[in-house]
Amino acid sequence: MSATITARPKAVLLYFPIVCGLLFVAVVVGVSVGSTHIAWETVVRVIGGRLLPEGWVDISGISEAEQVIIWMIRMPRVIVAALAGAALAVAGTQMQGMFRNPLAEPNIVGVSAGAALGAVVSLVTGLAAASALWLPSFAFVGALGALATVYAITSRAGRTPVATLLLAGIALSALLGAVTTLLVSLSFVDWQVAAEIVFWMMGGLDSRTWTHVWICLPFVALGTFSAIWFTRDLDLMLLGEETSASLGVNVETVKRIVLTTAALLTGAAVAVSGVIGFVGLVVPHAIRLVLGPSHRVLVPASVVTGALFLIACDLLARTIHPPTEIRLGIVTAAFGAPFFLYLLRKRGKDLGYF
Amino acid sequence: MSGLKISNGGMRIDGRCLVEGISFDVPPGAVTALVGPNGSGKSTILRLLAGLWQPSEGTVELGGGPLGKLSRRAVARRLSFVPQDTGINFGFSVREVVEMGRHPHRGRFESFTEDDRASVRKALELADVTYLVDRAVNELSGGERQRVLIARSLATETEIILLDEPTSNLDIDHSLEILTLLRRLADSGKSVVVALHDLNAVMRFSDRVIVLDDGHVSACGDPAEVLAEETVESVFSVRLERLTGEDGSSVLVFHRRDGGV
Repeated sequence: MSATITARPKAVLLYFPIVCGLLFVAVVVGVSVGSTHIAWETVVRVIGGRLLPEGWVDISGISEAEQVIIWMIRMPRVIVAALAGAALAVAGTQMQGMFRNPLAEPNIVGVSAGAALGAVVSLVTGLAAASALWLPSFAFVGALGALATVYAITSRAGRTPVATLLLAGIALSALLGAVTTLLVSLSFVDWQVAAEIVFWMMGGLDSRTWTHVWICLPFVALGTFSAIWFTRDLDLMLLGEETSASLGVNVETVKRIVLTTAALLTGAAVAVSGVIGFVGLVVPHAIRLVLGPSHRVLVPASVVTGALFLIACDLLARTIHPPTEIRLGIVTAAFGAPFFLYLLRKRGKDLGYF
Repeated sequence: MSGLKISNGGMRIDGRCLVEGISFDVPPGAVTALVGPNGSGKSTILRLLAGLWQPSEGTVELGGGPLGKLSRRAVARRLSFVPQDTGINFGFSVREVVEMGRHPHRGRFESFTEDDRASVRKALELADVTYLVDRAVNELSGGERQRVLIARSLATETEIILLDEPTSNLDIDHSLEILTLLRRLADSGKSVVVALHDLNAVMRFSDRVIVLDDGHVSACGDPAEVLAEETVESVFSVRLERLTGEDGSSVLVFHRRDGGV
């Protein structure tokens, strides 16, 4: 499954058309499958009718109910899945590059834990019930707050050693996790709130609306743009900080921007989908094995692959055991963790773990 | 002149003095060797010269002005730095790593030009790693990787090359190969500054040696003269014996001072 170095350019040429094709299929299947099944032609026609100029696609004869299900209920859910998947995968790619460690992921500097705490605070205080905007806002504040704290603790005289950053991130994650768990345990006086929090912490995309799409889209777009802007700098960072500095990279600036970008992306994902693990770890890892470590390829590939992966996982979450939905975080972990262990066992030597 | 110069340079970190009162010019077309016991300040001086650290006292000048005033990219176009080898965890191909040497000359999304390609080809040939281009850099032996890192710095085509103990992990043959390469680069007009441990290599391959002792320059000049008994014996705390090689050059042999083996 890993491409040899000489085969990489060819793999890159094949990869994008294949994954984009699968992504399109996943969107159509994701929208057509559900409690009421809708024919895929109908789905394509409604989506086409909505996206293309009026009159290009004939949508007559499709019932109002089907149109509503497709465009107002399932489409936003699929798009939120795609955005969250892309965001987590790109954030993971960035973290792994910056820490020069293929095991790093957005969780590692406490960003996810911060976002989770923020969201739980909004749920416990009841603000989340008041407006759909509160939970995402709190999640963002939590993510950026956690990052700022880790950064402030580990920076000295304008330098931030990544090893220290990692350790501080792990400690802060544990602390924020403890506070979150405390809030959850206190919230059990009200079963409804407690259930909501626990569900949210397992990740899920039920009843996502276009509001959620618009909440995360700008941040995902901005984060992805920033990630693409800094691809070459990140490639150089993989050679070591002194080497990249001697090649003209402003290492500390790049670190700050990469960290903020990853926090923004993770915050955006957590804000609309709850806590979803393993996407940021497994997706970049798998791509790297096929396409090589260069971020010029890795970042765009993470966008499409992360989107595809999470749409597929959400589809499974909805269909494994109807009418109950399995929580999305459980599905990503159930697939991600064994796949990761497989990679570790099978390819760990190539990656220098053994 | 190469235009690289350190005047009365000093470096303190958290109040601890790493080097102090360092002054020398880097001569063009020559190999300048930095020698000294562990912790004597070789790496610190290289980092100051490379502009990776700002001196706490004194100045480092490049091309007549303070190096700290230049942008990282402007510095990178004039001098390249090969840090001590720490290995690379990611499977870049050798070609990709050497191409990264062109970074200071390229715009953010600029594609690779014919000039860039020519520089990379030349660097690969000089460092004798052309046959490795399609290998993954994390699968190379220490000697191969060191040569690739040197090729990477050559691809930048700078007048000045700084290297921190490029032979420390290498066997005898590979270190001779690296040292010969440095000699060739200097003969072709580059200014090479290299931290080394092997004093015999310094005698054979360098034009000028700077002996460091506890953060100070203790001697500086022609290797054959500077590496005299009293300097080496006091700086390295050893007893020195000088033998004559088959070609008439002198070979240094070191003994522990207390006479033990």
